[in-house]
Amino acid sequence: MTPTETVTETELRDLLAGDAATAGSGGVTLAGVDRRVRRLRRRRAGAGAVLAAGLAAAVTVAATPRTVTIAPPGDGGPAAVAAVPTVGSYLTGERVFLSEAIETGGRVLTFTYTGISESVNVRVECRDPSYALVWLNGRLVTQGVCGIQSDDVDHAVSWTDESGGHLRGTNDVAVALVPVQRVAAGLEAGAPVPALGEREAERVIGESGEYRTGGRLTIRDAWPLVAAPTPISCDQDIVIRNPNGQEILSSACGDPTVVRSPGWPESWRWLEPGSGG
Amino acid sequence: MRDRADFERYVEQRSDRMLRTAYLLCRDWATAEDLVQTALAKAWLAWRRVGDNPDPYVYRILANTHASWWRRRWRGEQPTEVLPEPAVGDAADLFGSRDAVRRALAGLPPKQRAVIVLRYFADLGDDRIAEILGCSAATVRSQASRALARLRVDPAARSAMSLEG
Repeated sequence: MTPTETVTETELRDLLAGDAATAGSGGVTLAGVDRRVRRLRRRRAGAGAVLAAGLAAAVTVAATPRTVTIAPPGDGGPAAVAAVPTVGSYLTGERVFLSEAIETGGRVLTFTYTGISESVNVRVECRDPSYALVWLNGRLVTQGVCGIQSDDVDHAVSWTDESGGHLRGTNDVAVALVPVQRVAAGLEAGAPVPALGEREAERVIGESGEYRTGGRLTIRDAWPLVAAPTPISCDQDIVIRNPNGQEILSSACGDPTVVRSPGWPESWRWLEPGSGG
Repeated sequence: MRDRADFERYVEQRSDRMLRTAYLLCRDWATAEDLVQTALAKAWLAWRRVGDNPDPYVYRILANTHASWWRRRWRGEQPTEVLPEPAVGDAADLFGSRDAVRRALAGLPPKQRAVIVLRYFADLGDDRIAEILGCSAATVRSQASRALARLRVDPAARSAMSLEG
């Protein structure tokens, strides 16, 4: 540091200290902070409600009656195609297979876990505004913004394997956090962030360089929610599409029946058929 | 585990200094108060995860929230075809006034301003600043260097800060 810079820095320090000393405010009170907390909670609850509505819509889609096509009468075909139980959605359980603190960003952190369920839910929470990338057994499976973003919402990345693959046993999971600005560079604030490919992810992580941050990676068990709409448990809850394109909707049944999936925890007994949901 | 009493103590002890830091970031006391309240409120919502030293977390929220508000305000400005006339005062205004330095500081992008304030007012080291701003210490150094360079190229700032010797 040259003498000239020292002078500059000293004057700059004096200037800042002098300006900051001209208190022009009543100060920050706990009551004021608490009011702000309530406002943030309301906003987050609002955002949560939107998310819940989206989730409900997704479940509704998963649970909508299946469409079957009936053959025209007289050609010897079956009156209706027997329904096969379909995987509609997944529920996350309470068993935690892995819970690891993330303390470094800009680097791929790899962990191994042993699971007993066919599916898992992977959740990443971040202390700082970040962009999280998750690999499962070497494949980039999910990514997204994580931590409190400019919308004041504390985002988490949550992903459930719905591939129907078998994740019992030992699996490798990897996670990387990068500053969200690295991924959203050049985008308007609030604009959707395009998903990164494997190579782009590698590049962004490399460019970020390692830095200290905070977060948590949690892996829980997840189980398929198997819906068997018709004719197994309800022979009227069905959409029939005639060959002429006309659809006949029968909705005499109530809620879709949920059939217990092998391996579900005992605590989920209430979901068994006939339990009344 | 960090509890409410812990948080209240933290607010009591640190909010004044934080408010002054926020003021230097935004140069408006009402906005500074708003910034600090928001940062502390967000910190309280995540208090259990914050750890033993909440300062980096809270300062980071402060810096990020300020940058975010600054961007929103900047986007809201309407471009005009004609540049406004610079306020021409007497020679003391232009060449000797500390206001010139303030104006130069106010013209810095939020991250550079945050680096300057955290380094020269909060007296934090580059590693700490890097932790707060979520970047590397090298980035902090380059941002500081750019900020100081911008202050130097401003003629008024140059004069006021005796950079030309």
